[in-house]
Amino acid sequence: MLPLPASARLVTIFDTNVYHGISFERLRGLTERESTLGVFALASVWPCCELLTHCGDADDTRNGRARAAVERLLLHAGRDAPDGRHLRMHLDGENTLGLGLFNYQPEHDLREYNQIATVIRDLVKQHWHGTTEAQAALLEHIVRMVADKETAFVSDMAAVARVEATHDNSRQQARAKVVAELDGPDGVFLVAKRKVQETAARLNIALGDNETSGLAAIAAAGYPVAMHFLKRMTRRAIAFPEINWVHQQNSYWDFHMSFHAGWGATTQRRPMGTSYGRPRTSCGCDGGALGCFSHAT
Amino acid sequence: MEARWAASVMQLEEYEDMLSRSIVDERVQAIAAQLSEGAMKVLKVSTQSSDI
Repeated sequence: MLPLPASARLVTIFDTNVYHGISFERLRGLTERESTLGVFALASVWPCCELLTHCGDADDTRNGRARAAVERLLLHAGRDAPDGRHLRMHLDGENTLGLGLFNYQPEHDLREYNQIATVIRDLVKQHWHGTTEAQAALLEHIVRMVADKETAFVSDMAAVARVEATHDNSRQQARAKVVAELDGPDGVFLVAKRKVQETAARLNIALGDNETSGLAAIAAAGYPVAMHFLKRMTRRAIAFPEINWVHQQNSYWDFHMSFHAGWGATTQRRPMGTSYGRPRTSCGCDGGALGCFSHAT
Repeated sequence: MEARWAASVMQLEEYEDMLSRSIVDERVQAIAAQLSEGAMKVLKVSTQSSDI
């Protein structure tokens, strides 16, 4: 695990579109300024994956643009090492929540991040030539993984949009009632509670009602951007059931990114509250090209 | 509440302005002041208005 430098005053994570849109010259100037001011850049895994999905197929019309964006990402969130430039990466949104609420250590995912960081380092170093079978297989795996995540997201949102009529209310009335609840003072708490339940189920953790409510309050306070984002998406899905989420699937990646704008990883079910600064625990990351800062406090 | 969380997402131009004016600490303090406790020191930087 790589410690954050003592001089780090601010951690910054860029969205995919920044790396697409910024010139190398502008990024170099920005990176130099960050270095001077103690701003520490990390990458988020999903922008890496989003970009890599277009890097493997030479016939992909977005190939050149995506490769250039990966190079900018590595320039911004990388560090020089004898074997090439290593990418520094933050834990993804779902795992940030799992770690924060349940101290869940996503060892499998961290190993996968390490592979992704390594393939970025190596492909950039190779100037995208001479792709090995293992690299090609990983790129294909990433394409499938991204597609699977997007398909699951579309399916989840379709399920959210399905509001059934009740004994007392027609389907339209039931829909209006849920929207009103989401617009009320407990709207964020309600979606946070659902997210806590989903996360606990995914991790095979049994929770009582009181415990779920307590964790929902922590999630709402500790991951405010993500939970407000989720509330907005949930409300849209229910209020406008005609939305085709296939055309909105980028929202899934935005949702993941939104976890970064929060207190970040937590331990012992309490928000850290005091940001990044010093490493606290080992994350199981075995080094390589990945520097995981998710357990830093 | 809206103002509290919106502060943690920054547009690229705003971010560059923060760097060029060397106001990192001021910005972090402003974000921290908008939150109930702790300094939010992770910023997501985007080039578009997010739909959030």
